Amino acid sequence: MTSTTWTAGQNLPEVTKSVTQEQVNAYADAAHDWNPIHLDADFAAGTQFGQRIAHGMLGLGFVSEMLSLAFPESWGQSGGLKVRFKAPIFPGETVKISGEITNVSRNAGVDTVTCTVVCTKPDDTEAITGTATVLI
Amino acid sequence: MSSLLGALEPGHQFKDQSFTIDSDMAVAYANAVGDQSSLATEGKVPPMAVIALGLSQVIEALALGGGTVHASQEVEFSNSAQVDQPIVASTVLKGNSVRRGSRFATVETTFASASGDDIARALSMVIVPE
Repeated sequence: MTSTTWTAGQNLPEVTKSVTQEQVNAYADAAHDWNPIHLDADFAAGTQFGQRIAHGMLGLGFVSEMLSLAFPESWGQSGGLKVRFKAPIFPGETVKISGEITNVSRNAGVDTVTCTVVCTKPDDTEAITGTATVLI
Repeated sequence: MSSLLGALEPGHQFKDQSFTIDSDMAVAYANAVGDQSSLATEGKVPPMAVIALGLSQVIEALALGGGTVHASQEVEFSNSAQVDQPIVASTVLKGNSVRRGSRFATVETTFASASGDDIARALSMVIVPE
């Protein structure tokens, strides 16, 4: 998709993910992050969350997937992302990843697309929020 | 457990880490995330896989405990990493403070090819129970 197709106010293609404990386990192995807060029910029961939570970086992987789908030629080579992890994603939840273009600017022949990104939990609370920029 | 982290001052430079993401690892990552962007099948590493694996190495180096949670993350990509490409991760401790019984640590990691070409930069804040 070329930059000329993007204008402020446009939505990025949404991604929806149903997160399972099996997925969290697989992610732990793939990312080499075996923090028991993600994997050990007994350990997690004693934390502030009271149960196992998905890796924040798994949620960020969802966001990155959305950006890869929106900007397949550019995201991995010129993308930038700044996010806060505001609430945990629990296994069993389905989350929606969305984004909106807020600005498109051109400088020296390069377009900079800026967008908001958000990962929303089933109760509409925000698990991840932030902004992304991509040079096109 | 943050005893190691508690002894470190901002500016501390960690020993560089080298790692390689092979095709199996890239596909495992993409499958775990459910990434449909098909980068992993094109010989490229999903961009966030580089950051995730790099951050895991930092967590391991710091021996962070099980209650550690991720508070914020910044990433900038300069080039796509290719499967089987050696990646060098250089990490600096940027912030380290204790507030309300928790330690807030920020680390900056730059990822580059073996020849020094930039791949990505990541700024990660984690919260570690004291």
